[in-house]
Amino acid sequence: MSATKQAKKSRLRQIIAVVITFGYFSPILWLIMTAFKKRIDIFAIPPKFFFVPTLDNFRYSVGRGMFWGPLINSLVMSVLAVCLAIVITIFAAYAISRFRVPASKFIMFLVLSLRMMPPAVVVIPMFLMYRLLGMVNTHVGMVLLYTMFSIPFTLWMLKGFIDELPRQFDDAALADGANPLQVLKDIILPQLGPALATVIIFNMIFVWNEFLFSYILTGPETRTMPVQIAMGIYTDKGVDWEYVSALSTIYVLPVLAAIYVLQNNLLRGMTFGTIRR
Amino acid sequence: MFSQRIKWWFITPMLVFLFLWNVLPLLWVVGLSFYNYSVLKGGTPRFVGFLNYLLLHMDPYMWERFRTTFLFVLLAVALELVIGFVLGFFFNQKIKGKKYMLPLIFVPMIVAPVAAGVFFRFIYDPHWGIINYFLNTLFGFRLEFLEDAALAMPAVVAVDVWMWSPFMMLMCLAGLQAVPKHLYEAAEIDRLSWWTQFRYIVLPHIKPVLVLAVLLRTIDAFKIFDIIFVMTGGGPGSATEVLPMTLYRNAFLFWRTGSASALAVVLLLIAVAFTSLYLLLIPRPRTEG
Amino acid sequence: MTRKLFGLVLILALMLGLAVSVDAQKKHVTLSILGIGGWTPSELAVKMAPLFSEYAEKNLGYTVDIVGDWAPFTSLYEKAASAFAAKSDAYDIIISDSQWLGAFAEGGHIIQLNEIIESEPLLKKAVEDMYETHRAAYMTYPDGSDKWWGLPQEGDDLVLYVRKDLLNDPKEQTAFKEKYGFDLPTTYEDFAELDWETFEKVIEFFTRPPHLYGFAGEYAKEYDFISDHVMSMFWTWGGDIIDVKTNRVQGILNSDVNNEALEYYVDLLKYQPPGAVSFGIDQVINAMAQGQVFSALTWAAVGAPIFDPNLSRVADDVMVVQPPGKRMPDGTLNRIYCLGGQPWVISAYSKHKKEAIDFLKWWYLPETQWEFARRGGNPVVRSVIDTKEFQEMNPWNKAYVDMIHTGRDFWHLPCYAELLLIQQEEWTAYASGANKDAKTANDSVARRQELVLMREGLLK
Repeated sequence: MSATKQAKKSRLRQIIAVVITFGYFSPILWLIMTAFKKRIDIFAIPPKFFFVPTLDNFRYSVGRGMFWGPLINSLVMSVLAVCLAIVITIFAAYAISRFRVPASKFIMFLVLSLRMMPPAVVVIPMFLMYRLLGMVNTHVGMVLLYTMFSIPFTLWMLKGFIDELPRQFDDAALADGANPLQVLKDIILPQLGPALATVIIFNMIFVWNEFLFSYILTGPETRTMPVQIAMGIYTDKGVDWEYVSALSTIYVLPVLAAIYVLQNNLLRGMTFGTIRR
Repeated sequence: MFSQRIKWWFITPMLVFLFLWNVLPLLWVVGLSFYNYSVLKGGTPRFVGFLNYLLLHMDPYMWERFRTTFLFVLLAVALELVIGFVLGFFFNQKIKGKKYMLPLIFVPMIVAPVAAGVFFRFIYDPHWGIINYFLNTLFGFRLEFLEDAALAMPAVVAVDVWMWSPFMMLMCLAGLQAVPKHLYEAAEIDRLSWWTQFRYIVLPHIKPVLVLAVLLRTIDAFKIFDIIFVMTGGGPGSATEVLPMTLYRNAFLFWRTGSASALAVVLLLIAVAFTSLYLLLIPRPRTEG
Repeated sequence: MTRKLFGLVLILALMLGLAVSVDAQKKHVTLSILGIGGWTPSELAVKMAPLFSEYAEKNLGYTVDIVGDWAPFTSLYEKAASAFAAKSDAYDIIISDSQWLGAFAEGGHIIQLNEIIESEPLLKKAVEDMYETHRAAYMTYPDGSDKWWGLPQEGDDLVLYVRKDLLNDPKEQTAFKEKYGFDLPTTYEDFAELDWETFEKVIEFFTRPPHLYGFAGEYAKEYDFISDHVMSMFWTWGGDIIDVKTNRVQGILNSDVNNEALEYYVDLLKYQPPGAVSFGIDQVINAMAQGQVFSALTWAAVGAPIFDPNLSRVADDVMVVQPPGKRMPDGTLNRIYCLGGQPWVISAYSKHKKEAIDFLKWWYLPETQWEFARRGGNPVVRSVIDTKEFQEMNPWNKAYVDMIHTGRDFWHLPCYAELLLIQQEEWTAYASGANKDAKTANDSVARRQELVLMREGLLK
């Protein structure tokens, strides 16, 4: 008796779960579907849920120009900036985690508050500085900017991960007379493998999604994807949904793939490594 | 000792980089906030003392922007908390295929706000927007989500809730998993009511995590720019004109660099205050002494 | 042997050097233009650029590529201004909106053109061949001075697009006459004599939801969309927006006629499709082209998509006329509408100023101007636009030319962006229902604008 009630309840639960999942994912799904529709189907009333997919929009977007440029810029900048940030930060993370560094609390605080700052605040001084250095609309400038942008997250995450590694191995190595550089390279880094991948992917997503800095500081040669999506909306035929949906789809797909990789570390990444599971 | 010196070699590059690329520019902004200056106009900055702050304080529209921003933060975070909480409890149960559902729910969190904002304009459209299609066929009316002054704020909040309620849910799930199993079993044996279980077993375990979640979301909602910039541009009227929008306009549309700097300093102080609060509330990891 | 080898290398090096220097003589330039995304005349200009490349290779001895970059109206000013403020050479030529001349000229970001125009007979002739209205709107800063900073890329003004198939339908005509007791206006001349009160009856007649509405205008907060229309209503109603001598706004912008005009313009929303309160240029064109509205008040420059059968369902059914006027107490018809249009300006940080000037000279060649007109653009040179040939070339051309004479541009002051945002905010707040009263809206526009002008030291 209660068993059938239980089964009913669990079936209902199952259905609700599917509906919720669909609800959250449907805007993205609708976006991707739109990208594969013909123009007349995009604007069709009633909306078309079943249609013959076509690559027309992608072909058209490539032909409209400003397609490969922003895509390559976004890719190259996020990879370079994140690598640079990790190279700069891993030493500091190791030192702060393992040695008594004066003011380390303050450093961590400073770094975190930099990240908590509204981008609209930070972009003003960056513009002034880049203007003086002649770095507005340069690739080098943008990569360095995103390096700065990535450092706080990288430091917090890496310090957190290194804190969790057992100390006895590197303490023993240090006692044996190895220098910290060797310890970092031979003992810490190999243990850090998967954690490092998490940090890199998260950071790349943050850079990949960043809008305001790029909007103010890039020109046509250095423009990134989000800025192009926002700026390329209009053509002389009105809002160019073919272009916007095709570009956005290409822009969102890598992030979709990343979510499966990150699943287990999602919480940690979204809270700066301050919450560990 | 050898490693005592080398640790400075380890930290210095990062500190130098951060100082040059972040701290120094921010100090510059603090300095500029005492000057009357426009980058577009050029010329030499003129020292005006606290005038920029005074004008900011006296501007009645600035207070309206603060109100709009706090309204946005309040609505968004409260809804995210409630929805996230409910979803967290729901998905804490046994559900088949949960492993495949959760990532799909989490997707909005890491989708670029710009892409989401642009696309929600399409979804909200009064003519071919899919929401209005359903409203029209089911109930026979249409809503001008982003055009109506009363609806624009809820419409923007809804997008933020879509993006970030999964985050609350994630935090809630983490908190729930921290509740030791044997406590539930004990409660079962003692036949405690649902409310008592919740009040004395669940809540104490998830509270620290939820407080952090709320704070983190508050900080982020306070920073909101991308979504509003592409969806409403602060309009209609000034219905969705939040502070980052105003700051951006002062700096890059009106080019009043001095007074924009003053506003930037105010927001900067708020951000620092939030950060201190956040650090105070981080649960100490058990590994640390 | 070594000596021979050395000689060979020397000869080769010399040849290489020669080749390089010959190549350098035939130099190659890339001109980068920042234009308005989604704005037909800007896109036309860049589409015509290959013609300039041909011309330059033949007559000027260098090859040139023209690269267009686009920003929508809503963000073009920020894009252009931030490139200028950064002293960046990302753009050589910018299609600037006329109101920005002040801000760009004050900061020394664009080059003053007086000397260049004086020294180039072709440009001088073209400038002399323009209407004073256009010279004042697109070239001059400060207002009333003789300093020139831009050269018109396209001229533009507000015109009215109406569905002539509906107007000429005998069934509609009799039904209208029965209902209102007078005839539907059907010809260009009928509309030239039309006032708003009469026109309102026409659009009321054609408001048949959900498939047909009477009218579409601009109401969006983005950029200057609602302002262009509201200010046109002010002027047409007999009001003004500022006292140009003292820069006083209070008592002028919030006058009774202006309050009445604002209220009237917002009331027109009842004849418009759902969502019209956020219509910008783009949505107005779309509503017209999709056959959703009977009439649209928008720019002469966007005629091309409305008459393009690939983009429009009503390509053959539209006529372009002058917008209605306002009947003054003395019985005359007052009709003063906003000027649109954009000048070319040359960046002071461009590394290719000479080529940019060559480009402008080419732009004002009679052939180029005619080609621009043929492709659907609106030139400003009178030897083109005052001809019968031009006025019959495209359906909107006659209305475009007729509206020039009473056209008016608004402030070119450097604090333009701030003045504009204030009225965009207050007027869209009123239109979208956040502010219940036209007088309150205008009062606060006037008060806030005066504060800005006072702070800038412009208020006398």
